[in-house]
Amino acid sequence: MNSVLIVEDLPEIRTWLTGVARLAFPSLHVTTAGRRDEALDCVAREHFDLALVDLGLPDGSGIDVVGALHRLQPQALPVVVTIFDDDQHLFPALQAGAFGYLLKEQPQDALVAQLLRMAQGEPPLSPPIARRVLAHFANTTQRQQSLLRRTENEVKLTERETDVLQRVAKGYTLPEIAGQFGLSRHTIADHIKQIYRKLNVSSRAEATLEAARRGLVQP
Amino acid sequence: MLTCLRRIVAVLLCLAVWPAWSAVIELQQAQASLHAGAQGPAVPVTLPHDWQDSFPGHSGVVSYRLQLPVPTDRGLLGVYIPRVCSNVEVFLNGELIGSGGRMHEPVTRNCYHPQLFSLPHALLRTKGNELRLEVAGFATREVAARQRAAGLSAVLVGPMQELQPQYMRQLFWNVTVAQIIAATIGMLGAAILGLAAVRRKDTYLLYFGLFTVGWALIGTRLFVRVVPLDNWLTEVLICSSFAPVLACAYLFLLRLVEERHAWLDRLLWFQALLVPVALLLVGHNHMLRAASVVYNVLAVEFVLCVTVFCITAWKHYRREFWLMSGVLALAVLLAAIEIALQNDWLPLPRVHVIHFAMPLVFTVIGIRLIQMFVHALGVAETVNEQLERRVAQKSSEIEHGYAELAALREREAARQERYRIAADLHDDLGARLLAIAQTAPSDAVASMAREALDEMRLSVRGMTGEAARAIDVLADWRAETVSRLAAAGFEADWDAQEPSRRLILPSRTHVQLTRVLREAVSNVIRHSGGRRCHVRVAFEPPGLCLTIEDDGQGLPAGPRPATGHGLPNIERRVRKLEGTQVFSTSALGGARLQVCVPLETTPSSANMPSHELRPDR
Repeated sequence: MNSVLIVEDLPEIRTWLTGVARLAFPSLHVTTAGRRDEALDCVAREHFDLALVDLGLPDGSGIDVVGALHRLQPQALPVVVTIFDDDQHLFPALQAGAFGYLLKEQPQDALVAQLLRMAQGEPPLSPPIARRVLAHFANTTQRQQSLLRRTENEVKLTERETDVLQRVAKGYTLPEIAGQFGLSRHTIADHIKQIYRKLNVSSRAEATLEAARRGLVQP
Repeated sequence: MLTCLRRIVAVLLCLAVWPAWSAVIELQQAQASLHAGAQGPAVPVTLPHDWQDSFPGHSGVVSYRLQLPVPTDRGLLGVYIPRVCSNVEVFLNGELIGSGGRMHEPVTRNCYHPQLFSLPHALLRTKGNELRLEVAGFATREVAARQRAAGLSAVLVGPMQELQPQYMRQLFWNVTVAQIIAATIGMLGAAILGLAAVRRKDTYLLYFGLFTVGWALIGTRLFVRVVPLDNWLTEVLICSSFAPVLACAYLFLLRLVEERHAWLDRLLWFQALLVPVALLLVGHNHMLRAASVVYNVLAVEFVLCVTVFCITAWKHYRREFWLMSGVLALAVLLAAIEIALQNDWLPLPRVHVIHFAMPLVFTVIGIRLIQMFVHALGVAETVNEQLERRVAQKSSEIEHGYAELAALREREAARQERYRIAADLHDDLGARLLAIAQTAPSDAVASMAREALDEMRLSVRGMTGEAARAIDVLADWRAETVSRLAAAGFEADWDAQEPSRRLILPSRTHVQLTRVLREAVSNVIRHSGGRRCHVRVAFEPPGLCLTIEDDGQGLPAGPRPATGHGLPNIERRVRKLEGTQVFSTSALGGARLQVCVPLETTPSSANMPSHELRPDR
């Protein structure tokens, strides 16, 4: 972790986030942005390993920054930083390609620990998000059966991935689930990354489907 | 007795002898001559007489002289000729006493029309009466049907009152019946054409209508006597008219069993054009032969067509098969008789069966078609009624749906507005409170900021109206508590009763209990100094009990725990929920906190049976 982009409109929180990032990775080069446009410029200009993005920006949503980063710098880790664990904001961010999310109200040491885990490739997954992902794929599967039957990029979860999600939704932690399956934490983390990737693909498939239905694109 | 018997016999004899003239006599002997007025040489002939026998190939006039016995009857006398073709003029002792019409082209066509004239007494001599019949006609080879070849039947002479009924009878069967039939089937055809006009898709109706009307028009040849065309053209016209009319019949039969072939249609109409051209080209003298060829070809086509119809109907339309094939068998029989007559394999009858049997065929088919039409109409009406009912039902559904939609849109607008306010609170108020909480120099300020944040979150939750299912809340609590304890190096022991899937936690209870649990766990991590933490959640009517205990050093001595342990906060929150909290010593050795709060009956759980609130383990 060499360079981080911090996108946050409140200066106090920006400073505090910079502190958290430096605690996790001491030799970090920090770039900050207070607005969506500014952040998009940074993404186009500079290379980042990590991005901490607030969703509510004065000139738009941080989701656009997450999307741009996911598109232009696939190796970077876009992390959403938000006030509440309100999955109505988080879920679209995950669909746009966010690797994880941090809740601002958590104590500083918890945040640092989460950042370190994410840097090691272990994405966070909370029960509300797991419930949403399950519901998303259940709906998508139904819709795909009727409308998307012939499309190549039909996205479905594997049985193991569904199992993991169900256990997370019931409140089990990743180490607990790894123990229950007799697998390493690393393998479980891989499953979750795969689920995020499918979430991102399936949301794009859905967008294509929607566009085709409105006659914008020839399917 | 004997005299009486003799008298009766005498009367009977009288009655038997008297009618030499009182009864009708049939004249069968005549002298025929090719010269008008019987001036030239004559040959003796027997009546009925066909010109073909004595004067083959002759067209024009033949003069017949018949000897008339002396009449004794003083009543009204008449001469009755059942058949004379084409026309006749009758002379008694050289004086014209009756005429059937024109004797020159266009000759009046009386072949199917019997003739009856009265014999004036004034012209009758006491002996040597002569009846002369001038007959105009055409050679067999010049007519299209043998019925219209020139000839004269036996001539009947007698009292008018006896001849009249015979004449009337013959006229009725030959002419009146033909008129009735032509009118009837003409009207049937018109009715079917009317149906065809409204049922464009059912082309078989159109063809049957055309066939019927065409047949009625052909039928007029039996009673239309004056035609403004000479005999040859009239014969060509009659013979040619069969081709298009029968083409309609074939097309009707094939359409009825859904056999459609464009090439066949074209072929039939081409044939209809070809026939008159060919007849005009072969000329006068080969009319009968050419016409016979035409009739034979048409008959063969008819038989083929009926065969195809029967096979297809047997395979696919079994219900139509029996009636139609019966009727068609009759039609084929009639066609065979006609062909036999045309080709001189059978003698000419006095009455033509085909004239009476064809209407039967038409009537049966027509009734069946109308029955089919009426059935289809009935089905259509039923479908229509069902459709109307469905339309009514759908429109009421749509109206209902529209009202619902309007209400929904209103609710949606309100919801959007609440979300907007909530988002504003999050982004502005929440962010600033959070900044204070995270960056405050003192714990007291940070704690106040967090409480304010909680209150704000509660209002926002209330506004966005998202009630949480107890089962989901437990999962969230478990995830947070277990990972926090694990991160702090504690051994976590989570034990929660599974709540009913439908149990909803009120927002206030949800937020406050989350905070209570979080602070209690914080206390364990920061102050207990133990290694194990046991969290228990139980749904015990009428509420929920949360127990947190550890194996640490226990509660500090003194009446109240020190500030900073978060305990006053817990107390305040529990009071807001009208619950109770108990601090005690745990069996594990450390502190034990038990919080019990009542669960109010929320609207979504109001109609649940009371046991639903219990854990259903």
